[in-house]
Amino acid sequence: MDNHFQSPVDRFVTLLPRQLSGSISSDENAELSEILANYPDLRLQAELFAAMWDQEKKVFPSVEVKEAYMRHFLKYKSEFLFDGEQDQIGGINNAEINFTSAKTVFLPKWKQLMAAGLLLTITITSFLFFYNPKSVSKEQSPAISSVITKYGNKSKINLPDGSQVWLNAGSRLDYNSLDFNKTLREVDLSGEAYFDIAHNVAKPFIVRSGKMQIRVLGTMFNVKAYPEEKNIETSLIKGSVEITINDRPQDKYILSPNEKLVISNNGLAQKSPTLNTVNVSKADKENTDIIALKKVEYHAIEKIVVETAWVQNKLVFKSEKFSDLAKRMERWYDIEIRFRNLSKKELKFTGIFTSETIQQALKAMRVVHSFTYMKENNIIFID
Amino acid sequence: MIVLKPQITIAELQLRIFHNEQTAYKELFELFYNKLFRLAFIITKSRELSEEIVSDVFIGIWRRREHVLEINNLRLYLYISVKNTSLNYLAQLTKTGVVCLEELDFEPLQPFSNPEEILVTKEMNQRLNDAIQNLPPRCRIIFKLVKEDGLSYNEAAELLNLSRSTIDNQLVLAIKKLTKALFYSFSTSKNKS
Repeated sequence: MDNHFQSPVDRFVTLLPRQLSGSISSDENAELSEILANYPDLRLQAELFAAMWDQEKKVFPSVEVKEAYMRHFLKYKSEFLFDGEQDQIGGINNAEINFTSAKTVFLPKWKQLMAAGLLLTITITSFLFFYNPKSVSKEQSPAISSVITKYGNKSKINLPDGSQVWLNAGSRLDYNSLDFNKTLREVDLSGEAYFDIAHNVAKPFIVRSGKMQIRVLGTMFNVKAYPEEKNIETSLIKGSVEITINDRPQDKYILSPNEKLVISNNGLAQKSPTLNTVNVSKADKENTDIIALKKVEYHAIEKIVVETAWVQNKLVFKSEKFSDLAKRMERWYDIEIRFRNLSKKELKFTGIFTSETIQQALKAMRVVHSFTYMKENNIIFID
Repeated sequence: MIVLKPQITIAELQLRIFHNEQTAYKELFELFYNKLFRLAFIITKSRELSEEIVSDVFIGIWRRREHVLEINNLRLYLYISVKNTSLNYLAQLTKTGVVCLEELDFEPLQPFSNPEEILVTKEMNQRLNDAIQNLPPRCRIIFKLVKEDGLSYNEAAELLNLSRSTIDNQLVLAIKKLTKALFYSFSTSKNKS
């Protein structure tokens, strides 16, 4: 009922709130982008409304919310376990104290960075939506939009179809801004990203990453595919995804929520001893790939899903080899870690970092295992 | 720095509540308390009642936690439950029966809490604020639900028992009025094209 008779400006006013609230169809989104390309003076308006939509709204400060929960808890206390009881069940109480205290330390810094973050998000978003991406990309077709995160940084991308992508440090996401959303929604990923895909049965969303391809309709999942790491992991939180591996398109792996598919990364695949411990599924007896279906890891003490914890700014590791953890720390802290004593690579660590500096993190790790470290410029030597 | 989109947390929280985790339940409560309280308050105009309503709705989730994964859209479920419970309370109190949510009056929140962060001037923010206050009631509550609460058109339509096209029209109206407030010096000439 709405279209041909309206002026572009009227169409803009109709489409803008649809886009901001994620209620826009892909065709409409393309139409909106076109209007903005043709009427540059509407961009400021679009950006201001986008910023307004992003504002965090609070009636009560968090202290009052916590008090409200206490009243609620006391009112129905017979239906809950008391803290003391919880403690007996499994030390949950202790862990929770640590968790909340860590959070309090963490908050002010978070707040400080919020201002910068808001601006950054707006910039990236508007950049992707409103400008011809010519200037972003080199040595490739002008239609390719790229978002690249350096070590120590993360970013959030709003795709033109309303899907959202959180990009972890040292990662890159590319998509063709002309073709995206025409018949398919295709992106290329190198590194780690968390996807929250807008539902659209007509236009499947495809993530191409190294040797595999993930096809989804609308869902939330995490992909970890750093070229330098030995495994590629896809963890599903909600919905369903279908994974194919490029060199054998006949096999399809369908994940259910709470499952994760681990594929060894052929590029660098040395036969590492840890890989022998995973369950090899029936589908790939004779193949060089090593594929395992696992459960998404759940950190019972921190109450957090390990695979997606980074989105909440937490570096979580569970009996992880120092050599693997070091790679993640390099990206997380934007530093380089070199092992001068190679035996230390095999040490295993379990823990969680939030606001710790690299120094504090290493100090904490030294409590668990004996090693020494030396920091020279941006390089940390492990001895 | 990344601000977590609530839905991610909701899907995870739902799973954890299903696994009897009281802390996940607490997180869910704290995540939605502000918004649900406000919805209840818009309807009941009573702080005590609003708190009780939100409390009622939440304990229902905890009591039936073994079924919590069957809820498709937990956020919408919470909003609808709070709306219905509030209207029931109100009907009992006033004995008048039907109350229409979209005709209720309320005060919207500030459009920008920190306008300087995004280079919006004080006057612009004030004009915007006045414009939101002066939206017709139905338009205002739809704008509130879609913008402040982040509901989709379909969710807002379902919550208010309105058609999607009504949501559409009302938001067009809101955007037009707010645009006029923001750029009032030159927007009028542009609207007639």
